[in-house]
Amino acid sequence: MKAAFPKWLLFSLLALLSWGVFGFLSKVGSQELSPVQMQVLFSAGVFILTIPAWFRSGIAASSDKLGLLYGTFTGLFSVIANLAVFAALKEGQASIVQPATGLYPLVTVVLAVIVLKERMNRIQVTGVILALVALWILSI
Amino acid sequence: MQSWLFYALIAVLLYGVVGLFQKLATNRISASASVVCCAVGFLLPVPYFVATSRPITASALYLLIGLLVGVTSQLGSWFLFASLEIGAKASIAVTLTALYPLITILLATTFLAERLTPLQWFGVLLALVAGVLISYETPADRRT
Repeated sequence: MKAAFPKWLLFSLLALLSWGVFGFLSKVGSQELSPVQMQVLFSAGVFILTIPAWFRSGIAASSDKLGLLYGTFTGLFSVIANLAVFAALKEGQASIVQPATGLYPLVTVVLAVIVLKERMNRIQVTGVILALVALWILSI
Repeated sequence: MQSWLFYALIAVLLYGVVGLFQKLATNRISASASVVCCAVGFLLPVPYFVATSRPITASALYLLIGLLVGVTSQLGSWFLFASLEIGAKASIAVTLTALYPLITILLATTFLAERLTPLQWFGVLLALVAGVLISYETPADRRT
C-alpha cells in the first residue's frame, strides 16, 4: 500500500527543519564569530544555493526594474536585520531569541495595512495582539 | 533593556520591512527572481564587510558552520517555494513553516543545554501561536 503522504507537506516540513537548523547553527556560530563575520559567511552560503536558481528564475528576461529593485531591498534590509540577530544571539539564548525575532510578520502585516492598504482579518489582529504580549513576556 | 532584546527588536522591525518589500517585489516579479535579487542584496555589502572587519581567526569548523547558516536558510526558502509550487495552500504551508523556532528550541535545549523558565516557555508558546495566527490569510485577503 502506498502511503498517502503529500509531497507538498514533505517539502513544507523540510523547510521547517531547514529553518530550525538555521536558527540553531546561527547561535553556535555567533558564540565564536562576530556578527559581521557571520553575515559574510552567511552570504556566501546563500550565494552557493542561488547560482542554480539564477538560470531558471528568468531574471535576465525580467524587465520590471522596480520589481528587481524591491527584491534587492529585501536583501539589503535583511543584512542589517541578520547582524542584529547575530548580535542578539551572542548574549541571548537561541530558544528565546529565535521565537522573538520570528515574530517579524507582526510588523509586515501592520505595514501592509498602512502602505498597501491591505486589510487584516480578525484572526490576524488577534495574532498581532498575542505577538506583542509574547514579546513583553519574553523581555521580562 | 537587556542588549539581546534591543537587537531582537531591531531585527523584528527590519525583517518586517523586508516582508513588505517581498510583497512589493513578488507583485511584479516571480518568487524565484525575487530570491535571486535578495541574494544580490546580501552580496552588495560583503566587500565592505570584508575590508573593514577583523580577519576570521576561529577554527575551520566555525567557517563551515557560518556557511551552513546561509545554506540552511536558503534551503528552507527553496523548500517552501517548492511546496507552494506543487500545490500547497499558502495558508497551510506558510503557517506550518512559521513554527520553525520549535526545531531550534529542540536543538538548543538538547545540544547547548539552554534552559527556559516556565514564564519564558509561556512566552515562547504565545509567540508561536501568534505567528500561526498572523500568517493566516484567507484567499479573499490575498490580493495579487
